Amino acid sequence: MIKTNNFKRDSKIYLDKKGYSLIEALIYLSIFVVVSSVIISLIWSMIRMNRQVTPLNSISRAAVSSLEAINREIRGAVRVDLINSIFSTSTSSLELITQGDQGFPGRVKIYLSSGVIKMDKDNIYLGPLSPNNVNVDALTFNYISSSTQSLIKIEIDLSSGVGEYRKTENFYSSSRLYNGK
Amino acid sequence: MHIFLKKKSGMSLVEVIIALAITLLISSVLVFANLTYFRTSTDSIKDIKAIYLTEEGVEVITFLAKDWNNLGEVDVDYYLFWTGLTWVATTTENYIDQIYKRKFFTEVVNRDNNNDIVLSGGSPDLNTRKLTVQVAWSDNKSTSTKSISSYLMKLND
Repeated sequence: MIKTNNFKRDSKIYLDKKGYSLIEALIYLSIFVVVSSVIISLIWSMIRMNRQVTPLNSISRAAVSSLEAINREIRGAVRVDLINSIFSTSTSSLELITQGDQGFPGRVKIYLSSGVIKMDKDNIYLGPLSPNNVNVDALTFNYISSSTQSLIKIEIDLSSGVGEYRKTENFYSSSRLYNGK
Repeated sequence: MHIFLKKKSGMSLVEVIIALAITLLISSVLVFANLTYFRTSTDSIKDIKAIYLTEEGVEVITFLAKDWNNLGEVDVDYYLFWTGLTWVATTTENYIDQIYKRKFFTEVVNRDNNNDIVLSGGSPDLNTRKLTVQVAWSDNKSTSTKSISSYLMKLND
């Protein structure tokens, strides 16, 4: 049990307890400043890198998901609807006749609408093929055919990110119609 | 109580240096991990583009092979060129997006008596060729490549 008067007496005895001198404080302060400035610049460079990488990753995912879906539809189609499709422009649209269900031919339309690649099935909007964090700047289809087969050339121009971190990438693919001309 | 008051003191210089070393070690590991992530991400987008270009090469050449003459000579490098209207095979090098160089070449295919494809021996099959499409691009100092091989059959006229 410590009594108050004892404590006061004791603290007087150790009043000369050693603390930081001004020099020490300055040294520690300068070390702290140097270390924290290094760490802050590291964190800042990491943030910058992440801002550059995020749009690239979004573009990669968008390219794979939309190109896979488009290629799959083209390869599975029976023929291309040449009358309703629009080719060789940056806002192309592709209409495909598919095998469909129960003997009735189906219809698939792939087109660009307000920066998003969209797909209609049997004239009903099915959903987007590209995610909304990526803008599709151009969707170009080209059609070539031989006596036995048709081929669709696809170009997708994608961009993502804001300001100086905005990235643009173009992707190319071509697919034949496996099941028909 | 006496002891507590007497011995209390701040960090020594050695302790500060150790703490500093640990902090720097951890942050350098973090920076290294982040750099690797950055490099992988920027490389992977080029990889994805190259894979689609390689796959496109196989599709286009299979399409062009309906006319066997489009394949040209065996063991000669050709490049695909989009004229704006159609695909053509040419011996002139061209770059896609100024980065990717896509070449293809065909090789003679040999078959044995059972009509199976063999890598050595057998006799050449004039109606089959082995196709290789290769996409190459420069990454800083090294060159990366993607390639796909496939067999092409000549269809009856």
